[in-house]
Amino acid sequence: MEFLLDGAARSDRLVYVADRPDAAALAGDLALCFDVERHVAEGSLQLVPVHDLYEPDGRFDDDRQVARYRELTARAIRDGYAGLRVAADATSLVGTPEARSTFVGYELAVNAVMDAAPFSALCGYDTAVLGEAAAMELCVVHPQRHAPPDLDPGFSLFHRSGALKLVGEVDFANSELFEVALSAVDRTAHIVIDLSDLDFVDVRGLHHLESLASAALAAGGSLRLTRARPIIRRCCEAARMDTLAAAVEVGAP
Amino acid sequence: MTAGSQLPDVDFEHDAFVYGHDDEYVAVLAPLLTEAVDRGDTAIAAVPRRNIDLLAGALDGHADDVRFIAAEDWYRRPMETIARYDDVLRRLPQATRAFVVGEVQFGQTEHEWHDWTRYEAALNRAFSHHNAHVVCPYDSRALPPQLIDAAEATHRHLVQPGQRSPSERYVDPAVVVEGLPAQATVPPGPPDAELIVAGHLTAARRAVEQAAAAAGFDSTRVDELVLGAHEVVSNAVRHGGGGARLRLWSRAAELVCVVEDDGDGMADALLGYVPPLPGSESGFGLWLARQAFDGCQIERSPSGGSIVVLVARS
Repeated sequence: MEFLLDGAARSDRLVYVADRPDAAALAGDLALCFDVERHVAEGSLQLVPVHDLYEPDGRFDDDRQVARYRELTARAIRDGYAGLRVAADATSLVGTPEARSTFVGYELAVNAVMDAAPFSALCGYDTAVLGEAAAMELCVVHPQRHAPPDLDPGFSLFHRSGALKLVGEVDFANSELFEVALSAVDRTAHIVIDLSDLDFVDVRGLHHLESLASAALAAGGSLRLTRARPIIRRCCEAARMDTLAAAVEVGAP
Repeated sequence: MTAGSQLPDVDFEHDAFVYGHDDEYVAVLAPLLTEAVDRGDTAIAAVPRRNIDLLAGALDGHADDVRFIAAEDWYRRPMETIARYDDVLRRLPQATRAFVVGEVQFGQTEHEWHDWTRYEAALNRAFSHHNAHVVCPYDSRALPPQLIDAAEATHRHLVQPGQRSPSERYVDPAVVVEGLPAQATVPPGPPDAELIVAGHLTAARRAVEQAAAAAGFDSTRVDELVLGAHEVVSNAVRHGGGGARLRLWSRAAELVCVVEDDGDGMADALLGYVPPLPGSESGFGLWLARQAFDGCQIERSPSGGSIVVLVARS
């Protein structure tokens, strides 16, 4: 609610998305804080049932969704708004591991759009429905999260200023989550990951990065790890991870 | 390449050559280096600068084909030397052999002598998958008798002018290492910090970071020590019965970390001395710890688990 109110204050066009049968039911969710009728009438608030927006012909297509949001953002700006702000409860879209895996990739890609355009979003995931492990998989590709401390994955991977940024700490406790997050990265691209806010990574985490480096090279892409602390190059060398050591650029402290 | 596969003639030989005279030194080593070069081997001589001059003088045209390394620079920390040798040896062209003259610089103190004796013993395991022949000269004029003695236990063959014979007193490297005094011991008195680690290692890493910084290590070394300690604590938590006790002592220019677990203990005295094979995914936490710290001693606790004592000095 606060997120949308804040967006209104910034003159964003607001979009509220959740798993309700129709716009009227969605309006009910917001009625306490918003003059919903007025906002909808003037076009500053759109209410869309989640399946209508994300699965208009019955299936989720991540490329199409990214394009859709890019288009909605452009339209908002043409209509005189500062940008687009979306609050979406996507719980019902990510019920299966396959759907979740696709969605993580989508989230990472749409995050790149947000990095470059005045588009912001708050994604809601109900852990009671999804379970904690699944929710954490989705958490990691969001730069900021509002979650209880025991559900904190410990790291996040997202786009910032044109490169991917890896923030936090990666060790054996969140190693599998890290692998899932990296699997969402497009291997055919020339991938750049800024490590300046990576406070710790252990050998296992570096192995996942080395797998990404090898996969990227094989797919015609590449991997560069930038602004790394010297220990990261040291660790790659000590562990004989030659492919990854070559990808590390040690940054100024 | 999997750990078990080897080229048909992968062979690691490790000889000791005890000498008492410059003439003897040159008479034995110069021909060996010349033959190696003529065979197409990669020839390396990591010897004191004075001896580089002696050998280069005797090698004539072949001197350019030998890679000379000043032993004063090469033998600084045993684990660093193993890593550097391994980097050279693993980059040899396929199916070629290395011939190495490696004159260990044992240092002035008994502590250093024990460290380098462990090194000599560990080579027999650490380089067993390399195609190399290493000859270690021992200067009987300068080295204490106990080190000349130990050379026979840590080298399978002994070289003398005109003769190369098996060392009757060669002993398995694990036995040598176990027979030496502990590299590090649990300090007396209460630790500066103590924590039980069960799931997340963040608190343990913070504690090591603070203790290392308090002991005066620079930020890069702190990062190394945190990583090394993390790997040991990780092992303890994952393999050592689910929990580990970490104790830290922080003094001026010295950090001691003691990691205790409830597992089944570590049977192999040479854990952490063998460099990881490229592509291997696990099993080298202790290698990293031995690279980061100056001393790493593994003991059995009364309950059968492991106590790992790590010491770093700046």
